[in-house]
Amino acid sequence: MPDTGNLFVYHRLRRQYYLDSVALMRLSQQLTAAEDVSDAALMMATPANIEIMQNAGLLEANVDASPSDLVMAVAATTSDAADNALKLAETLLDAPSSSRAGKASGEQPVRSIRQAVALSPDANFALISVPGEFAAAEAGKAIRNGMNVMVFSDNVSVDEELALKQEARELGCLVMGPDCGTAIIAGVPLAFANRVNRGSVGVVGASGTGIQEVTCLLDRAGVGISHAIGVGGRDLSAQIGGISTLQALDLLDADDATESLVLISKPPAAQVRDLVLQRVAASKKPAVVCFIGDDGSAADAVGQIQMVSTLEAAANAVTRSYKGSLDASTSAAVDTSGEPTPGATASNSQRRFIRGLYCGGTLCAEAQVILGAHAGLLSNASIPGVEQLDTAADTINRGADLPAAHCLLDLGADEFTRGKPHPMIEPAIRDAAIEQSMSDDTTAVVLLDCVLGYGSHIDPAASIIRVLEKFPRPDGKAVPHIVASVTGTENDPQDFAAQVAALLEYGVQVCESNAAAVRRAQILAGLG
Amino acid sequence: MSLNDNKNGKTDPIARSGAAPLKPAASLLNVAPHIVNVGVPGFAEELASQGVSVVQLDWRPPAGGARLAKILSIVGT
Amino acid sequence: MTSEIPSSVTTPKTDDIAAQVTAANKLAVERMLAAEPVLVDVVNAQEAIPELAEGRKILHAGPPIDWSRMCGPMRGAIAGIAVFEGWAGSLADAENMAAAGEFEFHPNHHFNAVGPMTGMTTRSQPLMVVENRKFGNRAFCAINEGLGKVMRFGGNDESVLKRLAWLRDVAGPLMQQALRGSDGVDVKNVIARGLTMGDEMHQRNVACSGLLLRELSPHLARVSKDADQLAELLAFMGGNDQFFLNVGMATGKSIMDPVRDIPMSTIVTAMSRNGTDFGIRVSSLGDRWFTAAVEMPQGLYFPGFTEKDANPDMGDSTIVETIGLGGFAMGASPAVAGFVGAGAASDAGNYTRSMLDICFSENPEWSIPGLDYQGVPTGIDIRRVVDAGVAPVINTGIAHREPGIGQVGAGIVRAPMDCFTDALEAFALQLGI
Repeated sequence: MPDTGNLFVYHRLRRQYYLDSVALMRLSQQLTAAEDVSDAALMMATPANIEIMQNAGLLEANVDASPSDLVMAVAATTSDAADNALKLAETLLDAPSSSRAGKASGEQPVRSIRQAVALSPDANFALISVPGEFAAAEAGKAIRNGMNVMVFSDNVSVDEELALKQEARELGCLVMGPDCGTAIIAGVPLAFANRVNRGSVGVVGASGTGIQEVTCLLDRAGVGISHAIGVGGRDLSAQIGGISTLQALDLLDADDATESLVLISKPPAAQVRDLVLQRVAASKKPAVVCFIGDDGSAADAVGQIQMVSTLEAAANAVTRSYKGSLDASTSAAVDTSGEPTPGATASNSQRRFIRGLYCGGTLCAEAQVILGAHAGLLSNASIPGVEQLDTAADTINRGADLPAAHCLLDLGADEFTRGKPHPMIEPAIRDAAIEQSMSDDTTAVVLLDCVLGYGSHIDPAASIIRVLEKFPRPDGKAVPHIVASVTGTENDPQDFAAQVAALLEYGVQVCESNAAAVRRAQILAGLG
Repeated sequence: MSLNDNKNGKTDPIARSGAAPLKPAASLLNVAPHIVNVGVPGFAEELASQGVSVVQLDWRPPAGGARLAKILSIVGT
Repeated sequence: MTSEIPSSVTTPKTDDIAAQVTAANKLAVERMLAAEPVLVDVVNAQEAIPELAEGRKILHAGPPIDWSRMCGPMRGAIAGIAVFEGWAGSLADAENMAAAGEFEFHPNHHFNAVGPMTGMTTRSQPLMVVENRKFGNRAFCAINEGLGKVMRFGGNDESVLKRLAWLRDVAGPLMQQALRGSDGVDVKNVIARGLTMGDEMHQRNVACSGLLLRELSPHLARVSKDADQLAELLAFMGGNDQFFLNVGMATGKSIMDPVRDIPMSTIVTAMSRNGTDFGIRVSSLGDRWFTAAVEMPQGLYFPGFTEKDANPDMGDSTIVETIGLGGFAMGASPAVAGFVGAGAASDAGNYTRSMLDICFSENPEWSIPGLDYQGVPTGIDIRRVVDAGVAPVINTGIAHREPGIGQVGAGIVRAPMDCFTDALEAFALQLGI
């Protein structure tokens, strides 16, 4: 009988349970390390092992065990400690053995989200860009593994989106998307996002280029971003009901790093609009809401909310609240000199129309808001009040002239990108459209965007310039004016200053925002 | 802070920590994302180049195509 | 006990099908892990399987198949076993009788049995008995014949039949007496130790064969009345690195049979091939086999042979992969990775890790030291196979396509994905999806 002194010596058996001795020794060490445990051993109950444990003072004389049983024995200074150690032993035995013994090296391809989480227990965020028909399934796996998700993929059905977001909400996860192109989380730009300075403005956006334009304009004005949370273009629809937007607002409201809120979206469904505005108004943090084209006149009392109708106005409203006023000279690289002559082209030619050729869908929408008052505006991605142009893709593919009207085209829309990369990834797919509009003698101004940042083409200006090289310098007479804005920051992977300089060199009038570019185009087309 | 507040468990951080584990969204903005990239490898490359922790999945569509994918969405994995 | 219990078809009561499937699979894997397989006996086949006493029944490996579709080695084995059983006077007679429909062919799996390669099981062969003491069921497998010219590779000449007779008349009875005089051999324990000694239990059974010999030797010595016979049997067992394979297979069958017919479970309960078709069975899908054309193993060939000589994959031995061994435990056996042409020894673990992705769980008792004590992947879930697009990996011997020549190499083969997509479709149909 071993002298147990003041120790509490307990044991348990696990019948018909085999582990090899090396694995058992590792477990024994873990038990011995526990508080108030003086010794512990897990061994197969062979006669030799029983004797060893008895000699170590870990077992009473008689143990009813067979060699295929596992015996767990501990000696501890308190009864509780001995009990707890045995419980720990059971827990460790029941744990998956890989977690019991550390993770594998993971040198092979990882084939599933489950496996990725097993190999990298820190993984907490899934970025999903698989084909749309499979995207919801992958996102579902991610949330069930306790991850937040950004779904870049489009072509996910509304039903799938709703089911996914409802399940995520129950699980306490956020689903950004589907069709979410842009986010910045804790300083990390995801998918199509710009390298902006960190600050205290929290952005929620249902639109990728909308988030990019606003965050870049703020960055240029010296105002930083805490987080920018994309929610996907359909989140504020009646079917989805703003599930992710409301979650994102909750998160930013509770986030210490966020001091003010910006919400960017196309005009939402009416009942969703009310719900979201109520949530924004409930926050103590000042907020700017940009439902593009909706100036808030129809809104109920919305407290501290500033309603604006363009991306630029949203950025300006935030900047004013931080800086007290707007500093007009923040963007040295952009040409703001030389006020254009109003109607410079209108008097002497048939050049009357603005042809906006956009990579960014929300930038195209913003342009429609600003130009909207002018009759005869057409768009393939029309906002309310603008006439829909369904034939644009067909027209351009045939090499034919656009209708004799102001046309603002979203070249990232489905009808242009079927089987092709998005023009932000491969701006060259816009080349033909630019060339055609420049050759069309009814075009007064070609209006372009140039979107920089992660995910985007590394030199989007180059493709514009490739077309311009075929024409004389734009003068509004022989060749239409070219007006562009560059959405980006000095810290983006592309060289912002070089992009602007390259465009200026070829006679492009580069404005500091998309809205400014549209206004300049208006003046140049004699619409001032 | 009064003792009553503590008893209600509303403001006592220790009482809170004994509750259910943090929901994933609650920590979204507080910790740098550790990302699993499912799809376009370029996204993972850009994240890795910024020093962000990212695992690229070797994803492929389920065997049997969309019909089987639909079944899997119901029966789970 | 018969395996031919009709499956109970149930329809889900709630909308949460995924949760029900997961719960059913959890139960399935719990049954696998709770199994207590013990090698308890060697008995004559018609005692083990009374149906074999009537008619000329030949049990074979794999899903059901007619004579007309059987591959060369399978036909060779059938001819040989028919002569062995005294049903035919010559191999040629036997083939004529087979073609004339004078033999009944059934899968081993339909009679709680398994057999390697051709998997011949007939009335007078001695069968090893593994009893799953947790659930009370028994599974049977013939005694491994050794390497070279053997019936499991379609061999059927005089030497092959002579060895079968010796197994029947000498080895079987001695092993029977030895086992009956012991408490049986705890196979789970032997496999656990074998994994730490470099076996994966399909193409490498060196350690387990040695451990089994060590367990059986004292009992054999105690019951033997003839030192020469004893020496012959010990030499036979000790000289056959694959002796344990058949024990492992019966163990696999004894573990998987209690997992059958769990409503809503998508766990694979058997994988098997007959040299023409590969078949799987799934717990909630009853007795149905989901089959597809069997694939050719990719592997290494013994000197003098090439892939032109190879027969497509064959045998019930994939039951060991079904319980997480063989290709699934490749990480335990870097030596096998080299033998079967699976790449560098250091790559062996990748096979095991990739199988984790298609399995429901892992087995904490069967762990692999070289993979940081990773448990072998356990419970093949057809949902995950289809979702990952990754088919189970199988370590296999390669038989010569002509009967009677034997093993010509070893390699790796994948279970055909169609078996799993078809099974998942059937599962969905059963649920009304």
